[in-house]
Amino acid sequence: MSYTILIVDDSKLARMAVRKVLTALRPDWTLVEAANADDALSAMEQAAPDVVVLDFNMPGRDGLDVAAEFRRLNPRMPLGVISANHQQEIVNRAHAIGASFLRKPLTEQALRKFLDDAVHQLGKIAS
Amino acid sequence: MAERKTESQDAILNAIDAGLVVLDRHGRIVRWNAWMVSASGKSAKEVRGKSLAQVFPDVDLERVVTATTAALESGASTLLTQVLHPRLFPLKTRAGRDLLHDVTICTVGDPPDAECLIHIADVTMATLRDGYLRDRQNARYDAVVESAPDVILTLDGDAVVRYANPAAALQFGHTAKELVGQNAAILFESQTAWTDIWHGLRKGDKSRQPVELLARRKDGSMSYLEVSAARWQVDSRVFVTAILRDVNERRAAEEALRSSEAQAHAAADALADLNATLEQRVQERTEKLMEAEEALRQSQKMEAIGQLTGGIAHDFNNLLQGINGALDMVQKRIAAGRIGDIDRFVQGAIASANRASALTHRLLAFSRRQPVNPRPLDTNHLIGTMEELLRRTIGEKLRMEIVGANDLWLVRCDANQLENALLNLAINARDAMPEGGTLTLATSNMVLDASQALVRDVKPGEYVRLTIKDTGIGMADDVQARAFDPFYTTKPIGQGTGLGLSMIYGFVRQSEGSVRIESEVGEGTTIEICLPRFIGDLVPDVSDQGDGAAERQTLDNEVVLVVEDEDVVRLLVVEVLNDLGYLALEAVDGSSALRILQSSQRIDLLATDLGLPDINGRQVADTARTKRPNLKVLFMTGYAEKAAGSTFLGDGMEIISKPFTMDNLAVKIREMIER
Amino acid sequence: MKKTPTHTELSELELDALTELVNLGISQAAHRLAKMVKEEVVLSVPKVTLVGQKEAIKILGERESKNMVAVHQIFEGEITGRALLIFPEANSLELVRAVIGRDLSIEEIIELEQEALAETGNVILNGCLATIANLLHRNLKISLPEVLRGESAEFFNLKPPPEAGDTVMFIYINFAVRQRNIEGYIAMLMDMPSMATLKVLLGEFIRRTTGASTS
Repeated sequence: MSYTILIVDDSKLARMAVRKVLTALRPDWTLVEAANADDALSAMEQAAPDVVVLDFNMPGRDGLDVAAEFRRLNPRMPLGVISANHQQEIVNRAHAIGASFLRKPLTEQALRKFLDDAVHQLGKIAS
Repeated sequence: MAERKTESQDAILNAIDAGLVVLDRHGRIVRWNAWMVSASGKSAKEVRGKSLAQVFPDVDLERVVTATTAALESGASTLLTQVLHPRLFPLKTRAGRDLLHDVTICTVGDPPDAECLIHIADVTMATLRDGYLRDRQNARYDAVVESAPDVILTLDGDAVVRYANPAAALQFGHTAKELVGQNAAILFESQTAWTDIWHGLRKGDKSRQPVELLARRKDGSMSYLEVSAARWQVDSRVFVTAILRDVNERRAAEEALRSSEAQAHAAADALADLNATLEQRVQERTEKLMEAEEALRQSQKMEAIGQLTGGIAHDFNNLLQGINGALDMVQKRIAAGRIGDIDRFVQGAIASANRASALTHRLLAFSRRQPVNPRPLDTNHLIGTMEELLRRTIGEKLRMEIVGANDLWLVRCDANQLENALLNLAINARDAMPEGGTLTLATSNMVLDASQALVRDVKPGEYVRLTIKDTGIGMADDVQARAFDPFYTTKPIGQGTGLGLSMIYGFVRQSEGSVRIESEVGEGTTIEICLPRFIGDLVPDVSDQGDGAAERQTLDNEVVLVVEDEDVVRLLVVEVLNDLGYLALEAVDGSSALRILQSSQRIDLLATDLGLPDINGRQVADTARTKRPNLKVLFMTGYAEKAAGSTFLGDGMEIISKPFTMDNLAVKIREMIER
Repeated sequence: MKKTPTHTELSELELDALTELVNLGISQAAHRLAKMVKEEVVLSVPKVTLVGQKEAIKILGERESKNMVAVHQIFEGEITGRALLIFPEANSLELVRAVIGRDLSIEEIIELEQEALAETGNVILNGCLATIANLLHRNLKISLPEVLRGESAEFFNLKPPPEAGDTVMFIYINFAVRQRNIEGYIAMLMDMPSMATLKVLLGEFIRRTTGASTS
């Protein structure tokens, strides 16, 4: 099953890192990138992604607020919040809106687990 | 070799008075020096090869593990202080007490073969000493600050509250915790005042007086606080400790006090004067009184000016009385054919007219426009010349006696002023004796000793004393006290100027003499005038020799140009000149005068009025002198004010004040032309 | 971003990578700081700016009052330089109050400030520097902390000056402990050769992370 995944991060390097791991793990997926919250919201409409991974630390916007907005737009969509800041408060807030917390620097192992869970969840939605 | 090196290193490590532990890259203990053995109670053998967690199983070593990992993996050095990590390891001093310690963790060698050095420093002594000092200081400080009824705040350099005592919480309604971290400015209603204080403190102003500020409590109510504050410094960091005293009660009390004080003040002003600095109060009040008097005098003056016209009329009437009376007598005698002694009456009329002229001089002198002309004078002679006038003035109901001392000394003063003084005093005496009585004029020589001089406020020495005594109603004390005030009069409006006595006073003081009043109600009044003796000879007065001068006609053909816009005056002057044998030319204004002056006409003297309608006399003279530099000029003026300024008159210029007698004019002109 | 000719130029991606490294480092530091103060440490998105020494002095001088406190550490290795954690003086007291955690009088805080600041700065700078070193796969020797007070000019003119000329790199990061109004900056000063090495190491890091080459 092929899905579309949206990656939101102001760091180009971070987006490239995710792309590298994703290409290795799920080469058939379509990958859409956004560098800020506004781009991400328009990408939500145009590309209709199945999965979103977004950075917590973005200029001008709290990444978790943006995540909450995505969640409102698509309540059952698998959502990953990625951050170097792994203070418990942030992890808790991510979980509170039904998002997975992914720690930076992102490891292949962590992303693999997130994607497996996402596929599992998407399968349940489809069936 | 390696073994010897290790042994020598061990010896050094054991000798160091600090804990030294070396961990290998797996976190296992490889070195444990003697200090550690003593402090931990665990031998080197016992701990070797174990991790710190195994040696100290009951201790939370998370920070130490993180630090050793960082040292081994990243080469990072870590400091773990007693402040943030009290009793990190369970260590004891040799005396068995808790050993307080700072820990530093760093790398030895390079990764991946790096080891980790843990260095433990004993800070027990220093910490305990600091703590003891702090506690002792705090105990004292706390006792004061915590229980102080005043608000005590410690502010940092940005005016942020760093400490607030319990009284602060009570005063402001904010808890101490709410206050800490807030800018102190939020507590004050009067921001400007607070800012001023704060800037002053920041600048380091010392010894500031407490300042009252309006503060705002949490509930919005207002409170008056008296702020005193001091600045202190730790390193470069500035702090301010402020004490804020609640002065609401004091203010209320002060307010109450103020209002009751105000009442008391109003009720007992004199008492308050005594309480205050007496001298200053007295002076202030004196000044105020004088100001009030001055104001009163000014208003009286204004009132008196209204009376002045009437007053002058009164005095003129007296003189006209003399003139008319004399002329009346002349007429009667002529009608009766008894012309033998009419000369006496004619002389009297002339004298009265002269007095009238003198009166206007006095008025002008009074308004400081007439210079006085002091000269040696025989007072008896002067009284003699006035006798007739005086008798006539006081009327027939009153007796007049003149008691002139023999060998009376000369005085030096303005004859006209003295005459006027006598006349005024005689009039006053007459008015004081409506029921009749006697006026006595007396003169005497008098030597004033020190005390007599002091009473009269003059220098001790020889004086001529002139008294004018009446037997009239007398003066009450308050009237006497004010008798010399200008414009003071007891007479009905229109009957006196109030100037008489004050003019006399001014004239006498100017002549360095004195004037005194002795009077009692019902007992009559005596005015005493003392004038300093003049040592020297009488100088013949121009007017005394005037007759001869006027009669001595000159046959020279000197030419005098008369410039005068008043026709009558001009005609009179021309008449005098013609009588003197001079050729007189006439001009009615400045420009026609200049036309004559520009011509080649001989002119020996220019006699000009100062106040001409077009250009003034002075300008006429100056213009004429550009062509005739030696032209003699006689200014005729109703005001002599400019004559006083010596700069006004150049060489060959003279001035004669109106009104002048024809004789005086003739004498003056002759003098000038013949000079 | 301003560029002056004295800088070793970094490409956009290299700067992006450096920012990400700093982000990771400061996040690690914040994590440790959060553990110490037992409350959330909020990080602004780090602004990594490469400026000259003079500009660094000016930037800091304009933003902050005269009196500042800095915790200073030296790092040595393939990259050598100084790291500074800088606070306005008023903030440093708040930070100390936060990390000590006990209710202390102002006098006590002032007394303990020096040590507490040294340790707090040490945690933050170590977290930051060690994380960056690890991600760059390099070892750094990081000295113990030292507390400095003064103006920005003093912080950026420490003796001895770098052997190879001007200090050219200044990174500043704003972080805040939200409930306490604490704000601070981290500055790293490196000399030219260290900058050149950093550029190489960043290139390696990018390759490792993305599988792509930057050049």
